[in-house]
Amino acid sequence: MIDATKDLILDLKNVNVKFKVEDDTLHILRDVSLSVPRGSFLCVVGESGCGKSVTAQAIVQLLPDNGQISSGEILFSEDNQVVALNELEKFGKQMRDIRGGKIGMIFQDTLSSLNPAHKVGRQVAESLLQHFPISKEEARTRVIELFRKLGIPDPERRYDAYPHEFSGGMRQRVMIAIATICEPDLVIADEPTTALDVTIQAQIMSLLKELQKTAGKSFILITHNMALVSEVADHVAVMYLGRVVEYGAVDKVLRDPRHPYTKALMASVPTLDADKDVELQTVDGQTPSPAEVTVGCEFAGRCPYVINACKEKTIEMTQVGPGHDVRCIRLDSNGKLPVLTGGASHE
Amino acid sequence: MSNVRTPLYKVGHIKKHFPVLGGVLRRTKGYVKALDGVDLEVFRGETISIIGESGCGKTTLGRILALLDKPTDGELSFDFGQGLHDVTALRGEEQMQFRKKVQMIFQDPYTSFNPRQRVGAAMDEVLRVHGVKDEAERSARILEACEMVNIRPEYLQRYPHEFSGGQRQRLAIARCLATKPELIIADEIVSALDVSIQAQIVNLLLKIQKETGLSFIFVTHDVAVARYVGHRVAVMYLGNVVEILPADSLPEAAEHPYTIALLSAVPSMNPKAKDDRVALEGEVPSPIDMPSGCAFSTRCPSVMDICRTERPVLKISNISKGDHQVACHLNKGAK
Amino acid sequence: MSKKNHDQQSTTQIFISNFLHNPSGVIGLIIISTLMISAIFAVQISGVEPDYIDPINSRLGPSWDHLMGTDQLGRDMLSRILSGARQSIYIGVLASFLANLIGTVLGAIAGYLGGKIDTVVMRVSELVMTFPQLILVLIFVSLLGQGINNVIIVFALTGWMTTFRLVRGEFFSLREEAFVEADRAFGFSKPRIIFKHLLPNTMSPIVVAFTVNIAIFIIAEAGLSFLGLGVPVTTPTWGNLLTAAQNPVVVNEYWWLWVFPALSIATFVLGVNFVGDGLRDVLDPRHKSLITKNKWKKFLVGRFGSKK
Repeated sequence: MIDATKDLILDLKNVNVKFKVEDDTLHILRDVSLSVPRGSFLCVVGESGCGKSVTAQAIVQLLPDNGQISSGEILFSEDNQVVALNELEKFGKQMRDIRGGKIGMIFQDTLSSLNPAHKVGRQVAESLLQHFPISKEEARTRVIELFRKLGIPDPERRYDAYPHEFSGGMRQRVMIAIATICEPDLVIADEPTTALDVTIQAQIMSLLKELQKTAGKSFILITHNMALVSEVADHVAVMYLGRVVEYGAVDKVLRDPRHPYTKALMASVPTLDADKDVELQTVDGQTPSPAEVTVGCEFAGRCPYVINACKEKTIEMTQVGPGHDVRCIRLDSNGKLPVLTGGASHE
Repeated sequence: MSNVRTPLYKVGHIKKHFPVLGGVLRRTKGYVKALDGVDLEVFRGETISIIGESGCGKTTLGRILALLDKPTDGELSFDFGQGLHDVTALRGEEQMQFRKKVQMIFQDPYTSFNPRQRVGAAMDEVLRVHGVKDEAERSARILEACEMVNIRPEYLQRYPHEFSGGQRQRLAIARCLATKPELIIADEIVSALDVSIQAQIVNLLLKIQKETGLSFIFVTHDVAVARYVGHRVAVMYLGNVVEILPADSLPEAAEHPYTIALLSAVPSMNPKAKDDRVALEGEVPSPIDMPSGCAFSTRCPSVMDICRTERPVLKISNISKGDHQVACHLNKGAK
Repeated sequence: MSKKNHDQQSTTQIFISNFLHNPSGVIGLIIISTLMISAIFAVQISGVEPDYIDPINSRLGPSWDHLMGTDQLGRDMLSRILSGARQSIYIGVLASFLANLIGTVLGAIAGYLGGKIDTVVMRVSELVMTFPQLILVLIFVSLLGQGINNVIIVFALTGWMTTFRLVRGEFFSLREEAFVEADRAFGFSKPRIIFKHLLPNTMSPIVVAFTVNIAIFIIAEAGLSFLGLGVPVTTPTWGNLLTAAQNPVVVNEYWWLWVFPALSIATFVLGVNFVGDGLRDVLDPRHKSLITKNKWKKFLVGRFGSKK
């Protein structure tokens, strides 16, 4: 785990989340432990169904009605006090103060996260007015100032514009404004640039990094884009089917991935300098449903390194280096995977 | 690759303008110039990747190339075997001949099959409409196509909703392959899929090309995938092709300022890449008020006076010569 | 529902089995099938012909011999109501079917082709819709004369607009779908796309509209016949049995002459509405297990939107 003596702004300890879907109970988050040192940038990476978005929702207690945190703790450090977010009432005053005030959230789909019938400036100001006893004029001034800082051109006029009058990139800046106007210590961004062009993505990401550097904000970025992670993150957590399978400092995990899934993920994405004679690595089959895997390693059904022991019981995290943890029993004493000979095959 | 070959499909200065209607009388206020003079050639056995960001017109281009939309101006010519033949005005049986040779796969795997039709029946119907009368032959072709995309024959009885996104794209590919086309236009076919599934589809396309010698037009916004999949890459910006170059020579050989900026914006594992990043200011201008002269002049870090008045044309690159064309006033090459 | 065979079940089979588990649908189905079966066996159940005149036993209240009493000519009301059911249901179903047919074909063509054809048909539909319906019906009836088949034709000609708009709307949205584009890219002809691909995907609203219209037309016929404009009294329908209620004496003293026909109409219409509700529930794409086998994935996609 991350050095426990560091000042952590957020600490998830063994969080389990279950969802009731029709008559089944699905185990969506499995024993998730993550820590975010103050002022650092954590990326949570995975493909669809891994639970990364659910993790974000669990932190701010915005799980849908049929979901609940069945066990574990979510500790948030605010004003020198540690609060267990999972124990707060979902819509109670304390949680509402924290949401938006101390923890800001940026979502992927800006079109549906912004109220199309309200002017944009007002929506940002609303967030401010909810948390601070200031006047409407004062709020307006601060919002316009933030718009300017975030690179929204002509901020006084744009204050009175509606969401549909903005492009995708500009709307995302508005979302960032809403998320940061109250100067929260922690900002959680769920795939904020997935729907945006790569040039706009570069602009937005450099904005976020700027906020981290100058304002000392901590970030949790949820994404599926490994290259993006390598550029912005300090730490990265790789998730698969609700479980964190690899976790550590970004240069350790990305340059020297140890978990078979992390390795496969990295090798399946072509980079600009990829060797075209090397086939992209794929993983057999697709992500199973949580109901299908209840015992043993979640990745066992598709892993090229699988042995019988993998399916028998829950795998624990092992430390393979300082600040680098991997959840795999196939690692030898040096923390490396064995060389594949024939290899297992699935499907 | 020598340029003396005849192309399979030649795109000649294609324009697509959508009228913008306004006012009470719905008069034409202006035009959205989705495509403003696109020139391109696709050769047999090659994959050409078309990249660009939103608003560049790549999807509109794909649809026009598949004859799903009519161009406002320009020529499309396809080689049916006896040299290039104009296809924009084809009707009826002749158009059907074209459609047998040129197929399209779409971006959204979840709606590209009729939800009420079993996938095998869907494929069978296409072959019947294309005139394959013998049932045994239709079955054989379908089975062969399924084998190539790794779908088990017994799954043909199922309905589309019983398949995952990746499987549906494979089925869409099989549906095209069964008709034995010469060119497949793939419009962002992997964008809606998880990265590990994208890899499966990309590997599949490369394998198909190796085994069948089909041509592909691969439209995508993902630059790295475009480079990996294509033999050549065409870069589009605001309705124009600004650069065409061999995929292998990316990223170093890129010349057009937009291409350079685009490439540098791609997140990279290489720590040095961030320092070299060309930060593009502002946003893509609206395709209604197109800047006069070069479309990129409003954001180009190397803009010159001539750029604002005169539109540059695609010319062979003076630097790399060969199979590399750029539409930029910085390129002082001969045609 | 056996999960084992889920793969092999077609959308239709899944839908039928879902419908049979829907309480509203099942109740409605029971009601209308009971009524329809009774209608077929009218004579057997009541024991007497509907036009068997028996003046001695006229105007008798309900009794064991005559469960629903007798009318002024001594005819058994139960028998008349049950055989009246035949006509009313026949009218309701056939008129609804024809109206739906017209609306569907026009809606499909206008919806897919758009442009001028759409504009023309839309204006026609608006014209028919805004014209006061009763007057329109009266005009047609006076032109064609009375009689069951004429009533059906009149209803079909004045009642197709709702289905038309429904189908047209569906076609507008469906024609942008990728599989329609794919069909066009494969060179499928317009009729093939419209009738073989798009139409089956609009069956849900059409079927619901069909059941709703049955109820509407049965009530419409009742109203028309009550006014003496629909089916002449020689053939009993629920509607013209109600003409008895035009007489205030009947309304007060011989209540069984109009209450039972009214109740029959209400019961049948209720049953049809229940079936319609059941159909609407079952055909709702958010209804469980109709669409994705992997319901967890569908749930997540529905909840959180992104597929990544």
